[in-house]
Amino acid sequence: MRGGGRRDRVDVILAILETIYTERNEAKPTHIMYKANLSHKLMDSYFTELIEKGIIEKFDVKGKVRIKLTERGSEFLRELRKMKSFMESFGL
Amino acid sequence: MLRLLFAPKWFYGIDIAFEIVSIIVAVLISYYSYKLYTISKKKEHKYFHIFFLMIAIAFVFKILTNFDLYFEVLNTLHIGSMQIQYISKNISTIYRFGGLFMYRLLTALFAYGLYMLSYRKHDRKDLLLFVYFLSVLAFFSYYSYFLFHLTIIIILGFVSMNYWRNFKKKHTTNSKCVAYGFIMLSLAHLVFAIVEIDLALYVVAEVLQLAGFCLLLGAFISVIRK
Repeated sequence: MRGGGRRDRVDVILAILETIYTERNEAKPTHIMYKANLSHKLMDSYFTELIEKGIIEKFDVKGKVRIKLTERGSEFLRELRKMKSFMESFGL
Repeated sequence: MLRLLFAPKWFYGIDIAFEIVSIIVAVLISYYSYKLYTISKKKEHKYFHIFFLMIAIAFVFKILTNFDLYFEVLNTLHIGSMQIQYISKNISTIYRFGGLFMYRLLTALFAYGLYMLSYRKHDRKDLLLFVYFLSVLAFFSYYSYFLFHLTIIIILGFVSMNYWRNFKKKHTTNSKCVAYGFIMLSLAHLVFAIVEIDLALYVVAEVLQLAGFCLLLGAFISVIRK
């Protein structure tokens, strides 16, 4: 993660989506939890929200849960990166 | 006599076009930060959205006031009769006072708002106190425009310093555009403050202001096109 300060929602969501993206759209939940530095409870609450919004979805690979970005999720990730970058240019 | 009009005649309307560009840029930035706010739920993003909306509305008031001032000049030159002038002046004085007051109050709130966000001063009591001070400033600067621009230079100067530091830390094109954009906006107010020396300075100030907003637009476009 960037910097050492307190992370906000955007940072956490970006960390989750970036992890899925770098894992070639087939990420293990535990891997996301580790990379995004989240507790299990917090990760579940983010997953619920992101699934409800159609940004990520769960699927099975040999009986094991994997997470992937939906088409909408990929678009959302691109947009979120831009928005984050824009606000950072104002130091926010 | 109180002087409200500083633009050279040939510049009438051109400055309004400049202001329209600034409104478009401010609304774009405001909308974009609102979109981010709906995801982040961060107060900073919400305030940022509100402050840029304020400067857009401030320019609308400036356009309406200037339009009225320009119209009166043309009216006096071509149609003017003593009685009509007298009535329209009474109405116009209130209208202009209101227009200029709103323009100056919203501009001052925009500058102070960005200062507040830049230096992480989020105390609501401070904000309310400053709303009062800035209202007093906007009210009395009707009789002394210099005071208004001087205050804005100081506040925007601090904001520019922060954005400059941010650019030195990040070294990105966007942060560079933002830093130079706010330096331009500060310089614009510096020139507005001394506009009485020469009417041509009003044009210089307007061009600097437009350049400032174009640089902010540059930062916006460079992010969108990524």
